[in-house]
Amino acid sequence: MRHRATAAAGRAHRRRRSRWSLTAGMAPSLLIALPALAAAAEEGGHESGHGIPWMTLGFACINFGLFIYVIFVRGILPSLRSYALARRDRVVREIEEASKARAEAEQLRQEWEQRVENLEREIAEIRDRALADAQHDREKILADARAAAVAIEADARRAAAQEIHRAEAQLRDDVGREAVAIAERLLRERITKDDQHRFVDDFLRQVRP
Amino acid sequence: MSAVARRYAKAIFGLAREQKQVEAVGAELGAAAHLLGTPALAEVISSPLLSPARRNPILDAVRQQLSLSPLVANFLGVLGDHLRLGQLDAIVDQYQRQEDRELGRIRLLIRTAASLSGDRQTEIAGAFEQALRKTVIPRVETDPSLLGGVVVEAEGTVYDGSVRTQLERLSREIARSDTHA
Repeated sequence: MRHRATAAAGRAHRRRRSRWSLTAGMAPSLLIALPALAAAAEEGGHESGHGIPWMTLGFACINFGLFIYVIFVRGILPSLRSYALARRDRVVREIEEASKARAEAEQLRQEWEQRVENLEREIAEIRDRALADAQHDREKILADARAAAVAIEADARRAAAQEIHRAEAQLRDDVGREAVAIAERLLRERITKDDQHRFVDDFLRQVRP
Repeated sequence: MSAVARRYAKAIFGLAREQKQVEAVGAELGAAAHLLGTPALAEVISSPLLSPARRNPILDAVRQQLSLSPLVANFLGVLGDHLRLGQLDAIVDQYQRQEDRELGRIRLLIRTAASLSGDRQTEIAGAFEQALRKTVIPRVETDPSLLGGVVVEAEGTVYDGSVRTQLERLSREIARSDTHA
């Protein structure tokens, strides 16, 4: 883009230099030709008498042409041309910049479209993954809950069995103690010397070899 | 039984055996321990605050009262000098063990629910002499909590024929019984 603008500016400069060279070449020619033209016009005037003053008219036309040339060709036209060239360059540059911006915008749009497309895919993947994780967690929680329920039930059964066993043992212990207390009371009331002799005899039978 | 009591008992037993006075010394030691073990005298005689000048007259009085041999009298003096009179019972107990071992004797503690006649005591002692093949020295105590029967302790072994123990065994059997079996 910059190379193209530089080339356009070079062409405009060469054009302006050729115009200046042409103007510089024509001006001395006109200055040299002016006295000859004035003398010819003066001679023609003397010959014709009261006719149209061609010499004066021609001189005026030439003078007018020079005026037009100097004013427009050397003054306004170059300015207009340079203005037009500068505007053209600016317009070209702006068009190029607009094209560049458009391309960049297009690229950005494509990138964003790609991103949006990827984003939708990622969202879908995340959603699927979240659903799978949630399902997995749900199954795991249910499995844990079932295992916990089984364990709690087993613990409860074990605790109940232990409690029953402990109560039975306590009951047997109480029954044994009560039976012994009753037996002790009866023995104290009813045991006799003969019973004591019999106990000693039994003991001696066990001791004797 | 402290190591100190064992050492003193071993020392007096060795001297008594040298003089062939094992049983006599044992009897004198037992009598002295019995006399010095009376609460009023034991508290005074074993006090570390009692000076030897005051303790020796008491021991002399005991010696005269019990007609102790010089060996036992001197032994009591040594115990007093070393403030070991408080361990006289343990020393006598250890001495008796060594004496019994030396003479092949064994001591029986016979506990009965009701008092035993002399014949029954002799019968029990004879039964243990036959069983243990040793001379026994019985000591009888009455313990009504046994309810009935006899309990004999000999050399750390308990021969239990009491009704109380049988009832306790019955109680344990009831407690151990399994109703589901």
